[in-house]
Amino acid sequence: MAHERIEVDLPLAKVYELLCNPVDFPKFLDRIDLVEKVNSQTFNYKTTIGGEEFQWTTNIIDNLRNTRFAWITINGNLNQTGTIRFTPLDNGERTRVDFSLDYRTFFGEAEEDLANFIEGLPAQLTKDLQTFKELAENDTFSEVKIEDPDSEKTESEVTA
Amino acid sequence: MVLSFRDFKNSAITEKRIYAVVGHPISHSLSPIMHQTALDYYEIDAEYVAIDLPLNQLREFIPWCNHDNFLGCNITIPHKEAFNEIVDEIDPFARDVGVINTLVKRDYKLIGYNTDVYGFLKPLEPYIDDIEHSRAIIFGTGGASKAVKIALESEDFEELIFVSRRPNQRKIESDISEIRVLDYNQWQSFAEEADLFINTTPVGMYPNSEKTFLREGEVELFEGKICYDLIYNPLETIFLKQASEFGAVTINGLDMLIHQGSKSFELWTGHTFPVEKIRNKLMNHLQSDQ
Repeated sequence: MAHERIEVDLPLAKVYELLCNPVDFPKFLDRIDLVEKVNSQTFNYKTTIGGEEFQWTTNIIDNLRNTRFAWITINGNLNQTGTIRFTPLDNGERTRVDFSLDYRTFFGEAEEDLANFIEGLPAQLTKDLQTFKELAENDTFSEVKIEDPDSEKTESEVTA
Repeated sequence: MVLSFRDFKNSAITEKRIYAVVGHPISHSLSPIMHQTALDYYEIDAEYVAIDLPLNQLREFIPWCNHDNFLGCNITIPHKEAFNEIVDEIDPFARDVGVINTLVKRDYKLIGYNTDVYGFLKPLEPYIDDIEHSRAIIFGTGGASKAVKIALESEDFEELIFVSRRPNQRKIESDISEIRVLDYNQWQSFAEEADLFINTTPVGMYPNSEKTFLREGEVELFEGKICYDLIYNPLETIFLKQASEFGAVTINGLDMLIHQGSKSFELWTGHTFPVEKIRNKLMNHLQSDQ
């Protein structure tokens, strides 16, 4: 479990809005390749770790506006859970974000690459939240494009 | 100290560790006196404040509970039921009661508890062996009567009779006790077999201390019984005063207030209230207030 905290120089409602849509997570969570919306509560995640592809489906289990956002994995080959808490600072003009993220396998021990990924999660999350802060404060969050690695692969295969 | 939500946002939370009571109106609350006395007694570095929080500001208030300096709070009217939808978790007992009056912060999570039931039962402890499995008559069917019902069910009362001005509009169910809902002309027939009479209505509360729901001659029905009024201001309502004159054992709402507060304090700090010190402080306050 990684728990990281960051302060963002934006109002609470704005920060909540940027962080309550998992489809946008790949914009700043470097090790997630793609998140697709299934419905308002359910999202499919995709990533590759050590050459192995991982896919999992999450359900939002708690979403209280401007306060907290949490999800659990309900299906897949990697078990991710996350909670984001939002705290107003300076009379609500700035926001503290507490981001908790956990990965584990559903069965057995994680293989070496996955184990290394999990071990490095706190440091990675620190970097990722710094990325989020910069994108949000520079108002460039919406400009970041997310590319599906599978569509890239298909395109390069076709080109070849 | 009573703070508006605006004052709270501007100052208290960023400067000091706080516990709070939230409600609207809140200026009458005795919780700050009790809890600050206990915090000082145990030399705990925190302040207990009352936050005047209208219902329409509740959603805005919740993110402020995520502050590290926010240690927990008591919840009073009109928020007791609204918090059910807002906390991270609800203690199973509080879920049964359906009402949260205490918010505990644990591992960043806000957990809702109910200490009203504990507070209600504590003053009855010396008598409970003699009256459990019997009949209780409860005046009123409002919010306060819910905790009383759960408390009496937990003590295996066989029959609970609720007295309401509109009995046909009140449906109260129980898997444990037999329930009847009667009007103010009917309860008298059931009084002889009852051991415990409880007022959960605000009738007789300051500043309307001269009011009572009792009619002439009814007080005689309390002879040798236990009469319990949830009101603590005044300390002796007309109901209790008259019942006492007819030989009833009487219990006022002050001890319930203290014990529910003590349980909240214990959930937060691991300490119980210095009860006598707090009772004296409250009695002095109530007497000087009138």
